[in-house]
Amino acid sequence: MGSRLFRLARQCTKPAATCEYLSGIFFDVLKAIVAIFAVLLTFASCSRQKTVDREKLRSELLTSISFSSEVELFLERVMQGRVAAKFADGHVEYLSREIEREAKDLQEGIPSHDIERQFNECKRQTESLAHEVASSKSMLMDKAALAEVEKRIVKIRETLQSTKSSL
Amino acid sequence: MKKLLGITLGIMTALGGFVDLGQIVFTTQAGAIFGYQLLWAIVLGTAAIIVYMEMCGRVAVVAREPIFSVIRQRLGAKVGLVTLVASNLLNLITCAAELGGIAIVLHLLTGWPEKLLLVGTTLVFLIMILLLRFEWIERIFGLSGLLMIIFAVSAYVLRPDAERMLHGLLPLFSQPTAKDNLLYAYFAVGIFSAMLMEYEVHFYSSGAIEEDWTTDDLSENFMVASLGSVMGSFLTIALLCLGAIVFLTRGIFPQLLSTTTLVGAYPFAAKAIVLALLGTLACIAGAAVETALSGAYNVCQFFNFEWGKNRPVKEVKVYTATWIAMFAVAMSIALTGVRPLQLVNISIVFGMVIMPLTYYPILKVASDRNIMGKHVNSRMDTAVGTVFLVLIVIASVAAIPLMVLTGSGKP
Repeated sequence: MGSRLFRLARQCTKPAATCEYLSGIFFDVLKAIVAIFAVLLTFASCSRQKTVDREKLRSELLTSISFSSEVELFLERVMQGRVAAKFADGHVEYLSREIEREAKDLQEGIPSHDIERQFNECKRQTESLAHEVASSKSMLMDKAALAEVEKRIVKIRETLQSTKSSL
Repeated sequence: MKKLLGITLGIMTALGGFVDLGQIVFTTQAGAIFGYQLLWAIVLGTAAIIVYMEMCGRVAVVAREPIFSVIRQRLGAKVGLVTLVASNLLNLITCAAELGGIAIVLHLLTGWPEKLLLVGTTLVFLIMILLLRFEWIERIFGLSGLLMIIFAVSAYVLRPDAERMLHGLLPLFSQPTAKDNLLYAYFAVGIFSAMLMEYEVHFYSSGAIEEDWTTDDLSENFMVASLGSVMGSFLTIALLCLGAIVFLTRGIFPQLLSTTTLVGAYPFAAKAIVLALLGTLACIAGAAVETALSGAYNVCQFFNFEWGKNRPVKEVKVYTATWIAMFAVAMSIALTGVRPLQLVNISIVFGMVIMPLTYYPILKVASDRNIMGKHVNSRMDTAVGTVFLVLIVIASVAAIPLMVLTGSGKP
């Protein structure tokens, strides 16, 4: 081992020799790393599975409730005049995009029979939330209209919360 | 006086460069789910980064050995090459995430199209790195990152619960359900990993060689590693507090960078958001530059090519080509539209998995009297270093299973 390290250390004083030595094992190493990375990516995408069981639905409901609260918080701040205009435009756009993605994920989900009612409610409320946020984009300067949107979003959140409780 | 100024500047730079996208996301999310309960993970991560950073700086100064040269010699060519490829993949993913984050922040500041901002920012970085010397790159990004202090001020104004914070210093795996316990463990590993991101340390130790530090600078190395990290960890604690105060009480699990930035200025008026955005921008811009340069340092130090930001480009062609390529590939990844926060999730887990491979060789060299002479680790240093090695190995083994079991940390 020691002599191997010594040999390697000597080789490494000459970049060309080191490259030659390492090129022999490069593709094996690369294959191993890519395999690990692919496994990680697969694991990361496991959370996007289509079959929805009770636990997954609970998680989806929590996400939709979180989005509703997030929108409420944002609208509050806008109505208090505590958000810069450019930030408000950008943030509502990101929120809208993310909630639409969540609604689309739910559309593709297949619930188990015992939670079908709650799943459909979650899907319906998330779609309503996506619609409300998309429509609020054009009324960020209109406090009265925003207050109405906020009221509807509070109702959506409350429905989602009671659906979660019924699970 | 000059030395004191140097130390102060070093500490400020380390403080400003301490936080990156991974920390912003993971810590705020941890606060949003578990309140102050994961404060201990920040404290542990801070101690670990101090030990690792100080050793790397000392090895660089005394042995004149950059990290990847040490790794190649200690682990052998095969394992060393695995570590190099894995580290640079990690740097690439992290750089792509940071570039994506920068485009989001700039979009929130200007309203301009994200993809245009992504390409523009990458070009600006290329020009800046080509034109500036190492110390100026370090100072510009590090010092502008101090704007992140707005997050600490916001947390202070919102008055975190001191009693709960104290309780948070003790790890408690007694959540209501088994899934919550797994989630708690996942975020503990995530915070620990985010604080130990290896590119920061590789950049730092390569910088010590770039700036020709000598053994006379070892006190500066210790001060920067310890005080800079401790002060930086206050920013991380502030992020956890903001997550606990603003998000936990409202049942929000923040999944957007813009939501996290919003709380950075929570108690203040609209203009403070601009400050929070600029602070975030500076931090993640610094991280993007560090990851790209770190990738180039790793390659050149491993293969023994000429390297150095302060040397003429024609003398360090491989080095220059590598960091430019890192930026180009990272920008291409970000342009595909993949979400930066998704990339951050992968980079944090992947970073923890390969961490033992870069930490162990440094600990070995720092403890080797033949190489380090009188600057060798004391018994205490080695004992503490070994304890952290054990913790790093445990976190490394647990990272992927926890990611799978928690669906990447989804509550």
